[in-house]
Amino acid sequence: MSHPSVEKIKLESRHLRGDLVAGLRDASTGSLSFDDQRTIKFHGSYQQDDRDLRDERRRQKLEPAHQFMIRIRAPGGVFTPAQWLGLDAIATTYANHSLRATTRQTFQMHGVIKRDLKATMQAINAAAMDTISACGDVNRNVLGASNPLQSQLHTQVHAWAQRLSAHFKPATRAYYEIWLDEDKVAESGVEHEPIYGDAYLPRKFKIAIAVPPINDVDVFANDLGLIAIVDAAGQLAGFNVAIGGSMGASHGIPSHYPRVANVIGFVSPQQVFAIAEAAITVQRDLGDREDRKHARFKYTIDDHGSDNIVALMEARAGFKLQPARDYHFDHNGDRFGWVEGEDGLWHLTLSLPSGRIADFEDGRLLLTGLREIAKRHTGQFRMTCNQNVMIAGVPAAQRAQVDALVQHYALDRENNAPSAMARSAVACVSLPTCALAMAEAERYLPAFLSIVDPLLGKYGLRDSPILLRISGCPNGCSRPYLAEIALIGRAPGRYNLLLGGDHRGMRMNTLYRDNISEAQIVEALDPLFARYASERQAGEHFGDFLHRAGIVALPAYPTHVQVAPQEGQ
Amino acid sequence: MNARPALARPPLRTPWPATLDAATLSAAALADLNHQLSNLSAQQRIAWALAHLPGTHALSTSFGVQAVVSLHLFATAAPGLPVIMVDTGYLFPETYRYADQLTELLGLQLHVYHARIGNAWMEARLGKLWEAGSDGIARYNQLRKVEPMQRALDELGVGCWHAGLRREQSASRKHIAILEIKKGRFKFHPIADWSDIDIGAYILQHDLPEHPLLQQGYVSVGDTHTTRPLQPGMDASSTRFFGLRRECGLHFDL
Repeated sequence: MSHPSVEKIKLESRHLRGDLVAGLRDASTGSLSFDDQRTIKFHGSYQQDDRDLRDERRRQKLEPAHQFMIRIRAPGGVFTPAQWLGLDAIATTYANHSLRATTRQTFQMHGVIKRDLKATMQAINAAAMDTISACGDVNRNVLGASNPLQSQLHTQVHAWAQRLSAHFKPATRAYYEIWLDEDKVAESGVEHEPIYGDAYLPRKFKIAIAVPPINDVDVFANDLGLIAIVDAAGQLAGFNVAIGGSMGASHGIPSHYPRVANVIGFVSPQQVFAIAEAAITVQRDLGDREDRKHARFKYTIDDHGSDNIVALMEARAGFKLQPARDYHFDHNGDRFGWVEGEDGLWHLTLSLPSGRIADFEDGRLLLTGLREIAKRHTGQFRMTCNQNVMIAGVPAAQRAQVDALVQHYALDRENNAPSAMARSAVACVSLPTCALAMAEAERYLPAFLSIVDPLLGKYGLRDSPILLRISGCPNGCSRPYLAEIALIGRAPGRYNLLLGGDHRGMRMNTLYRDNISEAQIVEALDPLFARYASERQAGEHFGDFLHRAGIVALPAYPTHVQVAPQEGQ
Repeated sequence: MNARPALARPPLRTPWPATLDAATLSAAALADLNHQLSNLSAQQRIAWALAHLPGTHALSTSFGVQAVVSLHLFATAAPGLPVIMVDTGYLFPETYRYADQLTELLGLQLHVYHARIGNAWMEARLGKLWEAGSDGIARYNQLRKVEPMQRALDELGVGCWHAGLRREQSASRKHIAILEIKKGRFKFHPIADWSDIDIGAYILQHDLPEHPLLQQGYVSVGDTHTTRPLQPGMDASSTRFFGLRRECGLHFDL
């Protein structure tokens, strides 16, 4: 049983149409055809199945419990209260009664069955959102820093995220025809795709915009990173450009490695589109279209040489990059609680449990509580790349009302978690919906935190901001390779333990123990916590300590040492 | 490994008085027993079983990735207990070496059973059954696993068969009880409710050697031709029998 390659499927899809219309209509199965399962990704949806039920349904000779994940395109991660209420209604009508904040500043919903897919897409459109290019081999959701203190800069960066996302949207009308019943025009299926061409990109392409000193977007985990540089007057002077970041890897295959982006220079705001388009088209033309596991921009850069890629980008952009400007990142986390922005409005950041917004049985009514806030809120909701939510733009006079709702629905349970590690931890979705999962992640995080908490207590480390990230497979949606402690799933109940990332998203961690059980993870961490507690220097983070103490060394990934050579201190 | 040591020494009888009779135990009494057993630790369950269940007790093992837990539990509670292994002849070299290692380490009284027909002869006569779809695999399993196991239980006069099945392992095992009655014989699953995490903790706590294939990403180990390491997106059960079957039948057809 051999399937056509994704490249062939893309080329023959008539610009992302495939047989989706017929496949959606076919009531004999909850599934789409193999080809259309590839095509629908470009429309922001993955076909999945409930893996908790997979074995049982196979025993009953039933097809898997097919369902769809739908992901919103939300450049910069900003939602209006009206959009929030729309998402809430969609999640409770068509999906599994939860919203899942992702690590790319948007939402995905799980559990939509095929029969309801089109109605769901139309409801998303009615709520003034879309899902175009939220998945697939195109430019994905563009990240923009959520820095609430520098309100004006945030507004500018958010506008850039919007513009980049719009500029790199595919030209095809497939989305509008299939989901929104737009009439076909003469060129339907043969539209000109000026940036992507007929085969789109070899693989997904990710762009992020960071605003120093906070790297909450993990800019170096992206194919193209833009680091905002302000001039002496506090105005946006331009961006440092970084290329080649990506988290994906494979267990035991050294040629599949995670990589941090390298800073290659500086561009003015007027040059942003040209350099971004140059990066995307160079990747379009030189990226590997034979092996999808070797197709991200990082491999193109490493295979052809960074200098050659930069020269090509400059030639296509029509200018030389300026030398990178000094910048400095303090950390890549979120700050929780209230802060006041430059504009006098207040912003409340709430930690969400792995980004899951649901009504939990333990009394945390996150879905209901945030719905009640959305009904009254006059500002925005800003999603962070660390799976948290900011209730942004609250006038001082309305703070008390928000606080009352937060308290009533226990929305601040995670903000008051017993350890800094628990507040900042990130986990990917993994089981039961993710088709790639090898071990639990989101569902396992609370149990793991409860196992580790006594250790943190024993060594007085509950207030130490140690960054933990769990991923159910090596593809790395939770950006585990940048964590100070990462668990990456190998098998049910077994993980790789990686240690030694920094807290700024600039240094990869290193495999410390391969394929171990929870008990072995705890056994490995205990002496390290003990040493960190007694030997750390003032302000020294856990990952930095592990390197200084010689406990871990940098990983042997290609080009790893060129993290960001221009960074000033 | 060619010798069949099945009758080389007489099977041990448990020294404890048997008080329960599989033929007369009512379903309600069995359910009540299971309820009581569910509140005990695995060690307490085993002690109870050894004291109250009749006939020869024996533990079956595959020397798979989690086998060491049951082997250690029983080797501690009942040294000298017969341990039955069905050798298909197609196991991984790592499994055979691991079997030797654990037999030595835990002082196992191992009884190895084989199919009546050798591998080469079976392949000459029937072809590669494991490549013949679900039905072929079923026939293969009957020949190389189920029949030898049946013979082992009969020859050893087993009245209580212990096995390390766990509910978390697959949907087919989700509803197993700690104590079951199968064809007039007690079947005991003392770690039925253990999780993968419990297994890992026990192995670490008792400093037991892990199956060498575990490090290579295998999560369930059987025959070389129908076992694959776990890859992204696979469930443990899909690593066996090309995902066509989960059970070899040894625990459900007997």
